[in-house]
Formats: sequence, structure tokens, C-alpha cells
Amino acid sequence: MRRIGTTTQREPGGGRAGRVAIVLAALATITAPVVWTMLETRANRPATHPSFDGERYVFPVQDTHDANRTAEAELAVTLLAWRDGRATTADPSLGAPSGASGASPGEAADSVQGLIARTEATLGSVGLTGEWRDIEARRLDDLRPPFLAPIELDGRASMLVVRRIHSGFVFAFEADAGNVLYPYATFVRARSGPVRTFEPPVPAPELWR
Amino acid sequence: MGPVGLALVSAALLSIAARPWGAGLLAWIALVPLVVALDRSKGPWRGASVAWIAWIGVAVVAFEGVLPVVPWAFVPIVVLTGAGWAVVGAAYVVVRNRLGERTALAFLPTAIVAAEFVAARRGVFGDLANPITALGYTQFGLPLHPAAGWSGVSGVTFAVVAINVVVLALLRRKRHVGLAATLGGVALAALVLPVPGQTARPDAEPSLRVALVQDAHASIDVLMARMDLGAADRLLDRYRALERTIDLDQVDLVVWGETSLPSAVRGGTLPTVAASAMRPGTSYLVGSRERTEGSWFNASLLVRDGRIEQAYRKRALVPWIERGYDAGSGSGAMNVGDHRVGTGVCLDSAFGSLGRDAVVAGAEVLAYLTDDTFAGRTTTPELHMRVTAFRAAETGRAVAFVNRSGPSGAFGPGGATLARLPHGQPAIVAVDLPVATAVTPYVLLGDWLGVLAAVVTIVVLFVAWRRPVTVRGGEEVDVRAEPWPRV
Repeated sequence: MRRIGTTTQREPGGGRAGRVAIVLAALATITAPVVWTMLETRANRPATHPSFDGERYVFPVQDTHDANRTAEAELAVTLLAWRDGRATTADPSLGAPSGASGASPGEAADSVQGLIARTEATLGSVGLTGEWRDIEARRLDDLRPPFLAPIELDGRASMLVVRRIHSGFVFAFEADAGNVLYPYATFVRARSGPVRTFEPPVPAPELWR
Repeated sequence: MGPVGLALVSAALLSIAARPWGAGLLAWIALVPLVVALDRSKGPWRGASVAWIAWIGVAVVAFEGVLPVVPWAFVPIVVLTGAGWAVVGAAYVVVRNRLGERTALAFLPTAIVAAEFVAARRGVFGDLANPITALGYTQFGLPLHPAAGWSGVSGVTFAVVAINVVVLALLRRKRHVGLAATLGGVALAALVLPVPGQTARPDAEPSLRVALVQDAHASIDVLMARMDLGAADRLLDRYRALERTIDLDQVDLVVWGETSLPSAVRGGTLPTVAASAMRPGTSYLVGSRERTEGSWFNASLLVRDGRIEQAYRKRALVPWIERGYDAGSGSGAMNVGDHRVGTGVCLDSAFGSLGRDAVVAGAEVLAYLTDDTFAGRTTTPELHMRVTAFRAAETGRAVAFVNRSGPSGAFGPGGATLARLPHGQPAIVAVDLPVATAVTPYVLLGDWLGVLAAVVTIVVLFVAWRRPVTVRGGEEVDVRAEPWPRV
């Protein structure tokens, strides 16, 4: 029995074990549904959710691309399609084997310098003129996309068409994977050379104009 | 059982009542263990602690949707938003110690309403105002729901707490019959008295036919559509496909969700890709990011024949998440044919005052656009819809609520559910919303009960503060037996 205010009541809850059981049940009632809904949220991720391969998020749904094209040709075809607002039939020269489309003599096929040289040659051949610029990472936000940025991860160089930098991610097109999302920190760490901006008409999709 | 255990039991009961499990009636007794715990608390700090523990039951449910998107913020939000209830707990103990148990019990409904009212003031807290944790929202679809027409959700909360006090008073050996009769009478009145202005206008065109469309795309698809033309087309294809399943000729207004246009509106011009997805001759209310005058807005646009006729810009921005947007202004009332439709975006729907603004500006129907995809399978999307249904009861206006991820729904002028779309699936429904112009007490006076509760709370606390403490030597005494102090 316990005196409470001006009234007297029998203390509810029985013995110590009963009280502990009630408290545990109350805690479970409060927390278990939260845990359950969180697990449900994770389990019901849509099929289109990107998978993380250790460095980047790769999207399972991709626009079709020609597996026979070189990486540089794939970039050029994509940029031309954006500029013209429709699918582009690639110039036959775009199908040249990788490493034979303008790399400077003596440059390794998988080096960043070789990649830049091949990319420049390929894009120049279809009229996608532009300028390579050394730019600090903190100023990348000021660039109007799209722009090209070479990166090097695990000793492998590749060229990104940066489509947007937003919410801590860099949304880009990459020839071997299609549309990808890089965490911004990964992108800054992996960037390994100048970026290439485009002269008008900039090959931007209609969506951005 | 000690005060902490009792407070936890209250938290558990409140948690069950707040979840969309159909157990809202549990809120009628959920506070009883808390009040017993408060009665066993001698000092205000203890009272604050047990009230805050009970608060966890409300807050965990209300803020569950934060977990999938900003998990680190969940605990700080639950902790900080409990300040109001902590103050109520402390105030209850102070009043009980100085003015007596009966006064404290009578004070409790007022104090909780005051705490909710103050916490939801945008004028005080800006975007940090918390409008979503009102106890009254547990009464969705229950007999107390229409009572929101008297004074917003404050009136429903008052009735819920009053019922708890009545139950407790009757359970006590020393029953406070007078107090129970008074508060019981108030609760009974809220339950049975019809609210003026909650009926559709009988002499008007009977209804506005509105199509609610939810696309239920995953967040990542929405992000992709903002950056890729092909993805944008695929996203809009779903709207086209859904709209082909109904007779659009019979529809006055098609409503899409928040930021449903894949590309932003700039300079008042609808992007071509978006315009091509809308049927000529039909009015659309769609959400979009809008860039104008150097600012970004989260907007709701009335579009017809590829032209933006009117725009409303979201006023109640989500703290931190929407820091890139500027807050808009205006009532959100738009002309659709011969009728006025009030609109709001996302968190706007949680503030009764914003819905009231639209009705005061002539809105005959309300339409809210949102996108709760971020919340995944948590209860947040369902609770958001339930909270919005209270705007119908408050204003006496039918409400259309379109959530991109679902659930979406339509509610009659008293809050009754007219149509509902499921969570997580693409879906469309056309529903006739009654057109109303009558005025409820809430539209006329606003949240008068919240104001009154805040004033009464301050007065009671002032009076209690002027009286001496009545706990001496660890023994509680009946202060009513003591003379009033000379002041």
C-alpha cells in the first residue's frame, strides 16, 4: 500500500518479476515496430536500386549501347545524342579499336594521358570541340555540366561525362558501366587530370536547357 | 511499479494508439499510468522525467520516417521535441504540490494542449515548429475526429486528455465526481455535437471530380529522371498509362504528387518533356521544383494546355532537408473552373493554420501534394495522410491528398474517407469531392482553444508559483486545508 496525494492505492504490477516483465513488454512495444519497419524498408528496395561496387553506384537499368564501340566512341555517341536530342548513328571512325584513335606515341593505352589524348581525338573528329582546364576540386560546382573528367581507380583510368553534382554525389556517364553515381569524396580522390568543357552548342540534354 | 515503469507503460500505450493499427481508442486511457507516475513524483524534475519518458511513445512513431533518410537525427529529434511534455510533467507536479490534486488533474488537459499549441507555432519556432505529434491525431476515423472543426486538433487533444482524467478520477478511491462530470461533459459534447459548417453546400454544383495519381517510383528513379531524358520519359510514361485507365473527360482536376515533374520550371515555363505528358484541355495540379528570381521553390502548379496558370510555393519547409529552398507565401487558393481549390505541399498539410488560410481565401476544396518515398515502409506516409485528413474536419472542406509513394486519399468535409490508394503501388482514382463554402468555428476563430490553453496554463502556473510548497518532511498534505498565503 502506498500513499499518493490525498488517496491511497494498491500498488499495481505484483512482484519484481512482474514489474520487470511489464517494463520489458513496454520497451518492446515501443521499439519492435520501428525495427520491423526499418527491415521492411531495406527488404523492399526496388529492382532499379543501384548496386554499390565498392567505389560507385551502378544502375541496373541502362540505355542500350553498342558493346563494339571503344570507350571514347561510346562517350562521343552519348554526347552527340544529347546535343541533337535523339539517338545518333555513330560515325564509322568512332568504332576504331581502343588505343588507335589518336593516342600520342609512347603513351600507355591505360594511362590518363593516353586516355585524354584518345578522347580529344575522338570528340574532335565529330565536332565536339572544347577545352581542357586545370581546375581545383572546390570549383567543380561552378562548372556547368556536362564536362569530362578523367579518374583513376585501382590503377585503371577512365573518362567520366559528369552530368550533375548534387547532394553529395556525382552523377556521370561512364563508357563501361553507363550511368553511375560516385560519392563526391570518391570522385575528388580519384580525379586525375584536367576537365574538359565544351564549346557551344554544349551537348546537354533537352532536360537541362 | 515505480514512476519510470508506469511512464513506460503510458509510452507503450501511446505508441500503439498512434500507429495505424486501428487502436486509437487506447489513447483514451494511455495517460492514466503517466498521471499515476506523476502523482508519485515529489519534485518537478521527477515529473519532467516521467512525462518525457511517456513522450517517447508518441515521438518514436511520429518521427519514424526520419530513420531511413537521416538516421543520426532520429534520437536528437525524439529527445528535443519532448521538452514540451517535460514542462507539462514538471508543471503538473508543481500545481499538484501547491494547489492540490484536483486542480492538477483539471489542469492537465489544458497544459498538454498548451504544450502542443506552442510547439506548433511557426511564428515562434519557424521551420522547427512541430505540428505532427498532437495526441488528437490518434483519433483519425474515430468519433472524436470531426471535433477538430471546433478548434483544430487542439480540441481533439483536449477531449482525449479529458477522457483520461475522467477515467483516472473515477478509478480513485476519493473520486473527483465534479471534475469527472465537468471534463466528461466536455468530452461528450465533442463526441456528439455536430460541428457547424461541416456539411457540403446543398445548393451548389454537387462536386468537383478529382483524379488522384500516385506514380510510386523509387527515389533513385526520381533522381535519375532529373538528370536523364530517357529516365524522365519513363517516369512520365507511368502517368500517361495510369490516366488512360479513367475517363479524363469527366475529370475537373488531375492531381500529381510533390515534385512530380522531372525537370524544374524556370522562368514560368513548363518544360517540354512535362507538358507532353499532360492531356490538352484538362487541368492539372502538379508539384515541381521552381527556379525564379534567383531562388528555388518547392511549388504546386496549376497547369492547363501546357501553360502554368497559377503557382503556389511551399511555406512550411522541412528543416535541414529542404535548406536549398526558399519559403513561399500566399494562401494557395487557385481557380479551377468555377471553383476555388486550396493547395499545399508536404509539410504544409500538417499545419492547420495554412489550410485555414486557403479556406479564408475562398477555397472550396483542399488538395495536398507530397512525396514520402524517403520514408520507405515506415508508418510516416500513413500518418501523414491521417494528419492531413484533420484539415478536412477543421475546415469543413473535402481534401485530396496525393502522395507519390502512396498512400493517397480523399476525405469528406468531416474527415470521412471517400477514397484511398495503397502504399507503394502505382495507382489512380477519380473521386467526386463535395464543394463547400460553409464556415466552421475553426475557420472563423482559428485555434482559439490553443490560445486559451496557453493563457490558462500561464495563469495557473503563476498562481501556483505564488503559493508556498506544501510538501514538508517528505509528506504530501492537502493544500486545500491550508489558508491562502498573504501576498
